[in-house]
Amino acid sequence: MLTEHNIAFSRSTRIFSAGLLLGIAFLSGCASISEQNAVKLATSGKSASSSALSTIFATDSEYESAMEAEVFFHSYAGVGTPSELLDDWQQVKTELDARKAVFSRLTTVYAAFGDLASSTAPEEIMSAIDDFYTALYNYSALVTTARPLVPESTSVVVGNIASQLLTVRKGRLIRQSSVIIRQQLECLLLLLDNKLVQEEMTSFQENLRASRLNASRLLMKNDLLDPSPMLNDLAADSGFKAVSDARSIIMTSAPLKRGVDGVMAFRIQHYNAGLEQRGYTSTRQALRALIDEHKKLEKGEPVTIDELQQIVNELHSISNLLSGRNQ
Amino acid sequence: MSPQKKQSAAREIQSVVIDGNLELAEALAALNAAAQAATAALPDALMKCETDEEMQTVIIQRDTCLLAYLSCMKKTLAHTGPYFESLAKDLEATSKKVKADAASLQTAHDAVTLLTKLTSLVGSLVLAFV
Repeated sequence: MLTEHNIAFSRSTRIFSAGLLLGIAFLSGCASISEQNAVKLATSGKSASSSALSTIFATDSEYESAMEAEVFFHSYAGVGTPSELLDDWQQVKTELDARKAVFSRLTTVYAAFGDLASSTAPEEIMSAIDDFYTALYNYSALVTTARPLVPESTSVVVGNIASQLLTVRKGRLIRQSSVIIRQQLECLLLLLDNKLVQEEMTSFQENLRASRLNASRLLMKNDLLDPSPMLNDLAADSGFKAVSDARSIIMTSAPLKRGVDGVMAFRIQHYNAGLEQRGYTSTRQALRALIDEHKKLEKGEPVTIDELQQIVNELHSISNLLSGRNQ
Repeated sequence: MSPQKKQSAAREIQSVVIDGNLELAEALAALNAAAQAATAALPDALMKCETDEEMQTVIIQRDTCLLAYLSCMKKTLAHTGPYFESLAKDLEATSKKVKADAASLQTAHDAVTLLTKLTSLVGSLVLAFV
């Protein structure tokens, strides 16, 4: 029930709350954080870090295949594979795998950042305060028949103030988190830019691949590989396919054998050559792009993730190519 | 060159050498190239061998190159590994902080919701004793 007291109280509360809301808006600063941009950045960051993880580290299957290649070479030569060699391979792999923790934790950080940016607490608190007012009003009606303890209009005002305060707080927390994440990305980029680190990360994958590919070459030289898929590729424009006994025909013709051996050796040498370096370069580009987007977010500028998305797509395709060789 | 410039240049070179990163990177790159070349030469070399002894000599020579590369890798990883460990720890701390920040936003809402429930409960109790 609205009485003169309530009306006066409501008016003064409204004036006070308007002033308070203006003050909150002023304190929130001119460069306000865009929560939507923060969510976009969190999603891209998560995608980039998990793609990098699957690109610049050798998978277990790549490693195991390379070790089988080592065993094949040594058994072919009539010697056992030296345990020192296998132990050294394993030790190096273990040390490098430990670095995966950096990228997996970066993925977790971005997941948490996304949760923070998409928190609906500022919106929810308005309805929570409204519910509280209703409960309070109902209670006060039970204990007294006089005017309500709190005028109805107050809950709307209080709800708005609480929502604004939480919004400002959320924006501040998002900015703080963005700064910390960006600084750690800068540290990671500094590490990956280091020539020694780059040589470590890429050379290991390259040597594993060299073992696998050259085991294939030894099989090919001993006529144990079926050249039909390669012949089909060569004839693809004509629409024809290799005959079923292509291999036995090739074995009886020295020029054909030389031709086929040459193409297979070329393929083995050049197929997906440099993929490890490309993956590493793309990872560094992704980190640079993420750092730039964080700076934009912190300045209140629009976040444009198109370039970052292209780099992440490149990482995905490199990762697929790398994993495709071991399916 | 002035004495000051000479001193500055000497300090710069010294820092690179003492830091060791440049020399280690170059050494690793050279050993990597040698290991890959030895592996690439292995199929042809094995095919040319006529006896088991010749094949064993070939594979031992190749293994020597590969072991040199892996030995250098172990040394460099001991040098660079701690930087990654430290960064991983920092990222874990950041993850915890950001999660706590998100939870703190929810706390105010939860506090109000709890108060609402308590008020409703009190109201129900009042009714029960009327």
